[in-house]
Amino acid sequence: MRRPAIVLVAAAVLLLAGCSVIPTSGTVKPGTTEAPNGTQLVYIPNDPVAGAGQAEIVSGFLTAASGRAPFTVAKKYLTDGFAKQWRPTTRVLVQESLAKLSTDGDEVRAEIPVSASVDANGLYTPESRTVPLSFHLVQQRGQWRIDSAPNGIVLTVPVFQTTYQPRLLQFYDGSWTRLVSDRRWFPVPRTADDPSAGVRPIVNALIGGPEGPLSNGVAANALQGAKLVGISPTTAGVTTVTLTTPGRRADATVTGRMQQQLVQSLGPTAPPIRLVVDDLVIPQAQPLTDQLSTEAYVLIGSRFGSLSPTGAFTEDRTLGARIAAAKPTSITVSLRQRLAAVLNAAGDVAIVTSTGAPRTVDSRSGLLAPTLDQRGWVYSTPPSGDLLAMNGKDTRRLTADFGDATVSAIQASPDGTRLLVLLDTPTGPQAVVAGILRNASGAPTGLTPVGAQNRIELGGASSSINGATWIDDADVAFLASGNDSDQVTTQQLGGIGGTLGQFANVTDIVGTTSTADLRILVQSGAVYFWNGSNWQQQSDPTSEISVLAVQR
Amino acid sequence: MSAEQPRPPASLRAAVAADRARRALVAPVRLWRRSLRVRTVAITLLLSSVALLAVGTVVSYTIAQGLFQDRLQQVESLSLQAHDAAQAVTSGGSADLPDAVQLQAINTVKQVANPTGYYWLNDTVPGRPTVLTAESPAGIQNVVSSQLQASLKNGSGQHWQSVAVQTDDRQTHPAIVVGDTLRFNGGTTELYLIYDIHDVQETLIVVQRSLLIGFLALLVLIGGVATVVSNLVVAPLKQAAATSELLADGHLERRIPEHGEDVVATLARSFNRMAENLQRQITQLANLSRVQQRFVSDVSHELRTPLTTIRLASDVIYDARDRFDAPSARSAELLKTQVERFEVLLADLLEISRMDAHAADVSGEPTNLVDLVREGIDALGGLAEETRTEIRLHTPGGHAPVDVDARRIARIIRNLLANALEHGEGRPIDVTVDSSETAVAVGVRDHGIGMSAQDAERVFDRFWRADPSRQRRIGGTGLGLAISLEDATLHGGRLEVWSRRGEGTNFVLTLPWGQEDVAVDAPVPLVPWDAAPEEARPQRPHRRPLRIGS
Repeated sequence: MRRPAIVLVAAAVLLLAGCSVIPTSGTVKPGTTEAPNGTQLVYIPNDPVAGAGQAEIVSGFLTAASGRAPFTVAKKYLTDGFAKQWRPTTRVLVQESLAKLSTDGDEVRAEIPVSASVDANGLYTPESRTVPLSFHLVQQRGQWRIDSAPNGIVLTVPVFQTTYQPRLLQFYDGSWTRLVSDRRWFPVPRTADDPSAGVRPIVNALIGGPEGPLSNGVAANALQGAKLVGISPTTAGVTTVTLTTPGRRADATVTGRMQQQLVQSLGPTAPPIRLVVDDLVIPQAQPLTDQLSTEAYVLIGSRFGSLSPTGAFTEDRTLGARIAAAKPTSITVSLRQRLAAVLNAAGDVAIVTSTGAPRTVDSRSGLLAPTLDQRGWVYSTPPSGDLLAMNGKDTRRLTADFGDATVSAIQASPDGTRLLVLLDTPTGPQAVVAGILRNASGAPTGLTPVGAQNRIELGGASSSINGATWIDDADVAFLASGNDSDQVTTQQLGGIGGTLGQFANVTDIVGTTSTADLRILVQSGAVYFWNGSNWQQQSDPTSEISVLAVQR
Repeated sequence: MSAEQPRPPASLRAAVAADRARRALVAPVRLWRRSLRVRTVAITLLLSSVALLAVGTVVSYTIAQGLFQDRLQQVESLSLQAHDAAQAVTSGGSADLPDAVQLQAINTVKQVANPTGYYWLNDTVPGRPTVLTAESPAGIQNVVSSQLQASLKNGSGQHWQSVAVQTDDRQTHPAIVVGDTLRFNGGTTELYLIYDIHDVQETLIVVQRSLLIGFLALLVLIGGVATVVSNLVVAPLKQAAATSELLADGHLERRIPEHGEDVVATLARSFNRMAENLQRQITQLANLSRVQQRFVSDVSHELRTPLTTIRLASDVIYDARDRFDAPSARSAELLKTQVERFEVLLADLLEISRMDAHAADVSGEPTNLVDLVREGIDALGGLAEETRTEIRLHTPGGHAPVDVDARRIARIIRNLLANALEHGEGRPIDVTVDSSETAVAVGVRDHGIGMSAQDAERVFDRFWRADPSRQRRIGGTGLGLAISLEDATLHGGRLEVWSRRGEGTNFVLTLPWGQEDVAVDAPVPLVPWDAAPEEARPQRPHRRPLRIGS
């Protein structure tokens, strides 16, 4: 009886001894999906140094704005009285290089080279100028302190990019069917703060309404006229937002839209929101989804169809056949509405439907590629800028003023609220985003006036822009041609720009819903998409694609 | 009777509880004292745990040091790389916007070293912001101590320090702060990288936990091993102890089995040899004693016959002494008394030899001890008158009949009374008869000359006289008390003596009611109530008959 016990114990010991080393081989196992917490940069401004001169105090005050709200350090540079009056949140000036300070007795004047400014509601306006700021100082307790300064703060570009983040506020288009993004910049909430701290500026900005090209009724706002009563701190993971609608009774449709706007504006990283309007808790609703397909639609020879991510071509035999029959040089197709606007072989703009023959709607000479909105209106213009809108029954002339620039291209936004117009001005190429004004029945009447907020400079007179497209409803992309290769640049509407690599012989650029669906057509007939770091071929190398269609 | 039993008073309950607690506490101590095995195993476990604790501490310390040094090396190397990369950025960056250069340097540091937190301290240019992570903004500024800052200012190169950081959920983690200086924007900047090394702590805890579990298991196994090993030693000892016990009880033929060649076997063999010798000697002695007793008995019997003849002849001579002359008549009287005395002595000798050979027959019948005592007193009335001694009889009890051999008991009482009268100096003699639940007793107290303690011990010896020079009136054989003692022992009772010089002597005969083995108390106390206080003498022990053979 004892012998087998001894043998068993010995075997167990040997087995355990073998397990006590770090393994050198093994089977493949799935890894963890928990990413480590990202760290936030926090700037700690320096307090005023004892015995500092006026210029040093002003310079310190300007850099102290990099600390966040409530700007306790910055207020230390002010006199006790002025510290209570100064309003730091009215605007942000984004400083792009060193400021020049000049002292004159107890006045200090600062010349700030500014690349952009952000208003109280977060609207980012690029503007390249030097802003003069003047400060008045007095002696307080033996030290220089500022007793008069402009409201608002100045942040250098890196500090601004670290401490502010862009958020897309959501408004509705005129028909209350789609959400439209309006980009604003808000301070990044501190990780130590309550999650509800980031909600207030967004709610206030939503109530403030759309700005820029979306203002003047181009976009609709369910929260118009609402008043924010309060935002409760996060309890049990839910933040309660309480609104009232003085002067009108908000019915279920309106409150449902408010809920949509609020939830979509806050985004997926925000804490769950409980909306209370006029003491009624609004039930959660399903989020609106995008309706555009993310596949590429191309014309290969005489066939029109979709291109899968692997490059397989599927012909569309109904609408596609008719489109192909028109032998177009440019196509804007709306699959939802089952129609397409094409520039046919004769240079006319025609509307193609799945039944019946294509109908020519604009036969002026020199027409540019047409574009289509969400309500069946086709827009076309010659380079002179005489913009017409047609829906097959009606033709309307749109009032728009481009100055003495010629139009190179137009494209309606994916949500159908704005028009991207590529202009050739004497000072160089420019792009303009203008809202489409409509009448009560939704027919376009004109474009909103072009101002600094919706103008995008695209380089000097020597650069040439060959193409422009919407990446999504808040970003646009341009095709700049260079000596050897063409450069794709992106621009956030109400934000900063970037580049997406270079490629040779690019003839067209088309975007759909995001950067991942941005595609270029090259001279050889191949289509490339952006895979995050470079352009990757999507189409079959043997196929020759003649037209890359825009989807709406 | 009431339905509910009355509760015992609180003091009683407390006393019971205290007694129980005391017993519980004492139990392990008693176990320790009684069991050799428990002692061995306990000492082994204690010493082993001390050793394991020492080893565990050393191992744990070594591992902690090793882990920390490992991580420190890694951290320092990463920090050096990060510092070099950041320096490259700050040296190469344009002076246009130092903020941008700072940001780029920080991003480089993040990429290279990936620290838990970092703290960038610009010193020369006023108004330049400092940078750190927002993990614990208030805490990290406190983490960089003034000594670390001072050492960076004094010496060149990297310096590090162990610190504690607070995490979001209020825990304290160990961390290492590595500080170095950078040239930046025309001045120097201090860059502190903080590395949270609580995973090293976690590893150490895992190791320590494993060590603890391992050592506990080891301790249990050691306990088992100690039990097994101590068994090897304790078992033969136990056997030897059991056999010794049996030997002491009289089973002289018991031996320890001998196995093997080791010291235990040697012990067994020696023990067995000793037992063998003991058995042989005891048997020899027993035989010898038996032979002697038989001889005494035979001799006594043989002597009887001629003695009877001699007595008859002496009676005749005594009857005819009137016809002799004075010396012859005197000789005839002498002859008669001495022959009578000889006969009594012979009878006593026979009696005692019968008792020694365990051939004495005891026939018990219900007897009233008080009557027996009265008869005894009457029988000795003559001697009492002669010595003018008053005999006082006290009978608080003892009236119930008890199963005894009346002849023998009467003999005892006669002997005691005779001794009391002989040594009583004429003072009154108190005879007490009393009984209790377990026994009945007779006490004979004289107030005569008494004896010393040593004499009292030897008074029951055969042929022993306390004062040989003393004139004997009754002229006993010297075997009276010995026979009385044997008589008392035959009944399962005892005969005890108390005496003090000048105060007298007290003899107490105690007889149990039945023949059961019940502890017998003393209905008549050995020390008389009228004795002066003195230290209690050790009583003569109850003699247990030695049984030879099984």
